[in-house]
Amino acid sequence: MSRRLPPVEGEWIDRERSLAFTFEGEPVRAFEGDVITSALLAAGHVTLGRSFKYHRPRGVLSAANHDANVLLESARATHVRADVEPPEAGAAYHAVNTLGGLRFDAARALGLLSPVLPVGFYYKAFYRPRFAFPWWERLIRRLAGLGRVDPAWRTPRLPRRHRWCDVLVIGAGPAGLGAAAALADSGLDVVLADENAHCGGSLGYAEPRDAPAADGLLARVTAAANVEVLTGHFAAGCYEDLGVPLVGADGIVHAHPRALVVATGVYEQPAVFRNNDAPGVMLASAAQRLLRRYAVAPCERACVVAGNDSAYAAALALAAHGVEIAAIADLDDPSDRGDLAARAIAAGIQVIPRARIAEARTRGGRLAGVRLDAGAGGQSIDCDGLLVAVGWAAAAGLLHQAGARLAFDADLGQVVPAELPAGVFAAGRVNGVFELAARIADGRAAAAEAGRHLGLSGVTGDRPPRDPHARSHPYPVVPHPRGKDFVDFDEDLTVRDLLTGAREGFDSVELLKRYSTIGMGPSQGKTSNMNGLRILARHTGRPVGAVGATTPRPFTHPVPIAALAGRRVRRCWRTPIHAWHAANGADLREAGTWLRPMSYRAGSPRAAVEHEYRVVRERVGLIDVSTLGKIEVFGPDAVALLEYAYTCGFDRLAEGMTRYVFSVDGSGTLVDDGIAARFADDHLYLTATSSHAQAAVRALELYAAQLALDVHVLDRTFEVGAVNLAGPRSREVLARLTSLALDEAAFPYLAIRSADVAGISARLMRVGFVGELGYEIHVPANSTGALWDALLEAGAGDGIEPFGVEAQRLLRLEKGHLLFGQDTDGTTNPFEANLGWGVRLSKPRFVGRHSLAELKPRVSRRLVGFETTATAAGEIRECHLVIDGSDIAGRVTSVARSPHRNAVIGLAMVPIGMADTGTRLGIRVTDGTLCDATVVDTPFYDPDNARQRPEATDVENAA
Amino acid sequence: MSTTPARSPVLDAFRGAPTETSGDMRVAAGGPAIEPGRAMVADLSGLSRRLVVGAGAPGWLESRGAPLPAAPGDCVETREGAVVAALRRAHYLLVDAPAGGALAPCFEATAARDGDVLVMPCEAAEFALTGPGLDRTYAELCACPPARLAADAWLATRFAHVEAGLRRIDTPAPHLRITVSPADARTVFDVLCAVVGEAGGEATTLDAYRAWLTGHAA
Repeated sequence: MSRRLPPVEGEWIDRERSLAFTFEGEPVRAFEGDVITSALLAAGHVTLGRSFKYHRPRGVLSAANHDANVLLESARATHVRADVEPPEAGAAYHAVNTLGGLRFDAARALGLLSPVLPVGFYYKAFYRPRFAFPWWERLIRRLAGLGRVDPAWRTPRLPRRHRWCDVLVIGAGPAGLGAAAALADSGLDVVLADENAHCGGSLGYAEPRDAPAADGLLARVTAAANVEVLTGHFAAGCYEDLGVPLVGADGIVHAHPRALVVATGVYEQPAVFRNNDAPGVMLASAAQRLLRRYAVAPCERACVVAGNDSAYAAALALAAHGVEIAAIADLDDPSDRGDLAARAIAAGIQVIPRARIAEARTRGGRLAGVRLDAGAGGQSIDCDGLLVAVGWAAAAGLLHQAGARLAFDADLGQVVPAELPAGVFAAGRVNGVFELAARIADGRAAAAEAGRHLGLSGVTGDRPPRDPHARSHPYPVVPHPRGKDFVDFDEDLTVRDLLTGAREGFDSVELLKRYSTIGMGPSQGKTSNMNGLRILARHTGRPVGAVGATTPRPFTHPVPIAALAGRRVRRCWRTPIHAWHAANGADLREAGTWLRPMSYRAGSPRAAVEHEYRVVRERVGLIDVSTLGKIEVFGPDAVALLEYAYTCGFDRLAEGMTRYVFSVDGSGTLVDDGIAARFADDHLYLTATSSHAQAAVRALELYAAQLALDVHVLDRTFEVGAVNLAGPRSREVLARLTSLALDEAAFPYLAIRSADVAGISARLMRVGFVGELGYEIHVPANSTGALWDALLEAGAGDGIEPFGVEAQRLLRLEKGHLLFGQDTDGTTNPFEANLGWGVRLSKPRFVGRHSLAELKPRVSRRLVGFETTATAAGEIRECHLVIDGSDIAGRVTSVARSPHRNAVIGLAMVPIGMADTGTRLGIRVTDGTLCDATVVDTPFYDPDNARQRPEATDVENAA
Repeated sequence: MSTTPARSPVLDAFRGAPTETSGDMRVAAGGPAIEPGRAMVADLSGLSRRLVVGAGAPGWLESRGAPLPAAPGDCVETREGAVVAALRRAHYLLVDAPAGGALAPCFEATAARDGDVLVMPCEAAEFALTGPGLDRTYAELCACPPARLAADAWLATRFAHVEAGLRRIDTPAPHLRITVSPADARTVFDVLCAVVGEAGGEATTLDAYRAWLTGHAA
């Protein structure tokens, strides 16, 4: 039977436009503007979901985004919140968390076990016998969770955008509208956000949209050019500098206001009694929303539980639209309710004073009636709807996150802001102001305060007093000896569960929350925390305000991952020759933020690396080293800066020469290494490791500022590309592209020169990282591709080929050169890494000097070279442990098979007592086998550095 | 000076497009005309750029007739559209030097050490973003208040998760000029292409942008 009413004034649905979907396989028709729940109720579906733990049937509770038991799934989405989301045409919705469907959910049998599943059950069971735990774990995991995730479904990412404004008003109810209207035409840039599809808040369902107090409010706001209205967006949290993500169906708007007006209202709270979760029991505000927004009768015959006068307003509204009101069970004296109670009585509605609901009766899994307790005569009333209006909880989460201090007002029975941070203002019911006209005035006053905060004096308004009397019943809880008196619908927690937890010692609110999981479900305690506090307060004999409160963390409501992700931007730094690498079969991998070619040949990686290795050792190879940090240091104090930043001395670094440098931190730990080149006394050029370039620049800038040095530090990493031409034929290849004299006298090892190469202005350094005669050539980034092409062309007759990072690592290992971050870690000092020669402690001041002076005589371990031809040698990997007896003595930092030594070689950090040449090391490989290795001298290749002398490379190949 | 053409860092994104040399850089050419009301992104990497750094940089620029921005974070645009931006103290970026323009003498000097001034070529990628969705795109990709994009501002910020220098230009229609490092060029260009593509627009070239500025067909 349809529960859709004739048109209701102000309804949100468009009766001219309908759509169809299915629910649990049954067809349902909806109007545009419906939410799924309203369409289902209109079609006669009362049971809409199953509870999380006991799989009890559940229906509408709040119709305000807190109906955690009415989560649906479709082919396109998991966790569809039926009480606020519109239906999608053609969608097939199913309730989550069922075994065999909503109606015949096999898991409902769990409800029979509820007497033996007390709070904390999971902590006390299943851990013995231990062998059975995996079985239990699998079973629990299968039963737990809400909904299935289809891993094949790719939700489109939702773009985010930033919105800067002067004032953000959150909540477009009477108070928020009052604030926004007061700021209209003020010259301030105002954003008004509300989670509902339309502005008004309770205006239109709890109060008439055209109430005199609100006359023209909405029109004034919508007409204001300086007010942007964002409906359908909820404020997910409040972060630093008042940043508020406003989450909507089309993504997140990151609001950055200068002032924030929080007019978020209150959450209506349920009463606790037996079977208070039966479909048909709902908050009175939910019934009003269904009625006024979607023209749906929540039931045919209703009983109303009254803890305040809003119950009477709801009853009168429903009666006016044809719903029979069987009775209003007032928890107190109706004569205190004022005009509304009188109108209800005058309308012939039975009002039962001082009544308490003993239990709700159910039939077929849904509400059939209520039974009042003996004090009210034990009366039983047949009804299919039980509307609960017993009080409110402030929606103060955003205020808390903004830094407000909140306090429980015992007179009002509600948390209210006691102290607000600068720029944050509260208005309306969240501020303890309930009367309609007063809420609007409170919003206006908040706007005036926000205006003054921003230096605007034109907006005025005075704060109305907070309500003098409680709007919430102090204890709407009627425990039942047979239980099923639910406090938390998300987690199926009853009064007994909370009391059990408290008796077991978890009687602090934060502990009880975690032990019982109250407030930890999808609605995050919005409809359970207040009653939980009341129960805990009564159990511990303290006032509610003394019990404390849990922390309302973001997000206010769940936020889809798609919205959080935003547009896909995967930052990868590409070298200037990236396109060439990609087009020529390079195996491109991420190395830090950079994309770098590991090697260029298909097939066996080992064969590819060995091929590229031999190209460099025997002919000439070319590698893209544009990822190196490149730093220009310019100014009168350039040398002074480097003397402070690095451990070595620069006084002997001549113009036109380079040297190896490394830096340490204040504790003497190695940080970074590179090359320093001197062009002039006031102009040096540095390289840094690929992943540390920006940190090196920041450190230099910091030191320059700390020492007040007259020097410019320029990060040129991205502006300068670099290639390394290396191998015995490198000089001949380079000579074809430059007029620069390349002979040993004119361009010796470790020199730097500026010259054109292939017509490109270049800096050339003679360095030997890979152990061969080589030239590191730095050119403007956008010309690096042209240089690369020219070198490949010039070297074609010499068998030039590009080589990748993997071959480079092998080549440098043979030469015994360190890779910072691999051969060193966050504890390695220069003396341990055999770099003591680069530390000049006689310098009066440099970063780490004091620590290094202390460390030098205390070296207890050392980086050594090792070699092995053992059977298991090929299994040795970086970070494998060096074992001494049964103890861990050290670890392998680098390892590779050396074509030159025809053995596996590596570096390992070992105790000083194991560092002598010839010492036998036991290296434990992955399968536990101990592999024998021997400490050998380094470098493994060309220990006399003969390869750097061109005359030597002309006559022999050592590979 | 280099005699071998450099390449735009996003040249390979214009597969199959004809190329031309702008300054000493090879760039794609012949892209679609920029139309009012249509979102487009143009590759302006072919504009000439120089860095002038050092204590004597202000004097060096003034002696060559270049206008000086008032403070770091400011920029000055010459009548012919060239730009001097003060990136930091005594650290200037010069962009574009049409022949006979105010900045031409600065580009005629050799890029080298000149007393207490370093004159260097500046390698960068630059894109122009045009069209009606400009504000929304900016709001999506940049967390910096748009008010800081004043007429004479060089806004050093993060755009599309990347360090960038931004300028807002209001003629012939509001558009955004985005300067990023060559290493980040493709990341940002791909994002901008996706953004304009979603709005029915497309990528275009430096010559089309120049034609749009001067009101002539490319």
